[in-house]
Amino acid sequence: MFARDYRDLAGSGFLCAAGFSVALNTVPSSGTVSQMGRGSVPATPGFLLASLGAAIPATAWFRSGGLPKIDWHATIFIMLGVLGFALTIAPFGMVPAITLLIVASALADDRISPLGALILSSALCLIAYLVFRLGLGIVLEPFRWPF
Amino acid sequence: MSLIENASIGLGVALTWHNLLYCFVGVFLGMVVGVLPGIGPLATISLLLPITFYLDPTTAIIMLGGVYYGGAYGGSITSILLNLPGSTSAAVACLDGYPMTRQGRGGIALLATTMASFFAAAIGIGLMMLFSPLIAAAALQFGAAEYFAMMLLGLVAASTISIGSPIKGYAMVILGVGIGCIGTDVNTGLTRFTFGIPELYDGIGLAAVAVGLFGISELIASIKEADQKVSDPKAFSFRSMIPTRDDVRRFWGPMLRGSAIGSFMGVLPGVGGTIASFMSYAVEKRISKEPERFGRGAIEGVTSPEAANNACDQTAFIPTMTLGIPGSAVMALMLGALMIHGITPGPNLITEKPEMFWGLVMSFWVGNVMLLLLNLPLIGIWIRILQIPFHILVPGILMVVCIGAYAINNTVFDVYVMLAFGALGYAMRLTEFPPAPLILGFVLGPLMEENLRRALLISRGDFMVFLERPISAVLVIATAALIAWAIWTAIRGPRQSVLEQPAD
Repeated sequence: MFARDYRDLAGSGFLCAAGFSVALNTVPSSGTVSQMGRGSVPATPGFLLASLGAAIPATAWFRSGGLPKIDWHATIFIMLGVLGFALTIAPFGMVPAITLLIVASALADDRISPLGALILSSALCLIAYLVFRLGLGIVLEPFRWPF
Repeated sequence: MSLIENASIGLGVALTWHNLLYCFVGVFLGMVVGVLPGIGPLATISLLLPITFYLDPTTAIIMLGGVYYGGAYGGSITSILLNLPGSTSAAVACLDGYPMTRQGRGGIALLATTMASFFAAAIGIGLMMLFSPLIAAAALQFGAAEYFAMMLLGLVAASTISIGSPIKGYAMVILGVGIGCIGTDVNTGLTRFTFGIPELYDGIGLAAVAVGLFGISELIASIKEADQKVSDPKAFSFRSMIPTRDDVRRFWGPMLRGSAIGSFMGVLPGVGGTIASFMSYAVEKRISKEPERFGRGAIEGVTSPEAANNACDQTAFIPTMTLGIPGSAVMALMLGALMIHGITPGPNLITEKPEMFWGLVMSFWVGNVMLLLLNLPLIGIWIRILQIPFHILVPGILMVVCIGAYAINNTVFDVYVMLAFGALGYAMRLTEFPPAPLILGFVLGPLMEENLRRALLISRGDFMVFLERPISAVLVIATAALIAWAIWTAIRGPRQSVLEQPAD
């Protein structure tokens, strides 16, 4: 626990930054009310966001609060898995992409063995082929070779 | 056209084999995700959104609708058996449902929620059939100013009434509107926030945003979820479900009151099943002659919220389908699913595409009958689903999500968008910023901009147009009143909610 609610203060900092950058970038292209430019509509949310962000510390500053527990391990491996999927699906096809995704997400949790992950990913590849390729007719080749 | 004629058109659509199959898939999936804690209908509908691109629009919305109201049936099972809400709207069912299970009356609680859910859904669908054509006819008179004011009220209501800090809700709605601005400005043809990336010229896709915000962040949070220890499925035989005469006597009143509260709340913008169920629980407790029974296994405390929750889920479709204005994030996704197919729901939908509107309505009947039949006999299966370990379930869902995101446009770009919003969603989860208002803002933002500009173009830039037209003036005043109320309660300090009161 801390004397101030740093979690909300961080959120408010992010909102202020996002709001101000949007507002400052859109105001020059706002135009007038009867001749609206492209920036007119996004400028309003920009200002509102910045002012709401500034309003949050009004209470968070005087309130004690804890920091959330971030599960870095799970976050990083799941993100890496999705990234791996994104990088392999177009050049190498569905099966390698799914295998990479499943192995990475299995590493996000320590309850599944490497062999278990492999079995799971082969089963899921088969299901994906049946459901997406045959069932829904989505064009997804199981294997591809870019070279 | 008469109601009977319309209903028969709808039945003709709903009873085709194809639609029956997808309706079944929808309600079954809805039950499954409703039962599983952590994964709710909102996440599931986001996950299915890319896949519906490959279906006929009517079929797609029938399936997504099924997931939505199916989830409401399933959620209460977990609440009653495990004291763990399967979905947020079923949280109230824990209060009295779990004590009933501990007293060995879990079977009766399940029976009561199923019957109440079906009854309330029937009332909700009935109201939708009666009132939708009337509302659509009235809405034909609405101009751009009215639409803008209505959407504004919807957004403000959704973020004010949501559970948690209203400031955070407002901030997320506004962030959503901002993200909705990405892409080409339709009025000037110039691009906004595209940073020179050609993929962003068309704006970012709803499916990728929704899957990232609700799906990926949910999966990160739930992969380490402990496996559930569930009581023996055999304990829930049909014999255990026979209610006592006292139960039956206490059944009807709460069910009717819950249905009435839920039906009313469903139509209001921003009020979802969660709030309707909390509200009806509070009402039951207040009017009860023995309020001390609540929290200790009162059957009224299960029946009424479940009825409210299901009625609400059905009537929530009324503003979405007749006005094109979604009141909640789930409804925004439904709207998005139709917009992916180039259909914008609005007052013209009922007359222009009667087979779609009435097909959807009649599929609600079909789906609810399916749920009634699936729910209790398959209780053993639902309990076994709870036993699937999360470390096997999560990778499987992750795969569906990734393939879905890739398959929307056959580009990897959507997968990256999903990943980015997954990170944002997880960060928002940690800092307790609600993701639902963001989606609502994202979907409604561009529609609001269009109507705002049209209204101002007609009035030659005079903002008084929103106050000069009576309907729009009422809506604007209501919006202002809501904001004032939110500020007032924020200064006065938070109210004590039903849940925070000690349960025993």
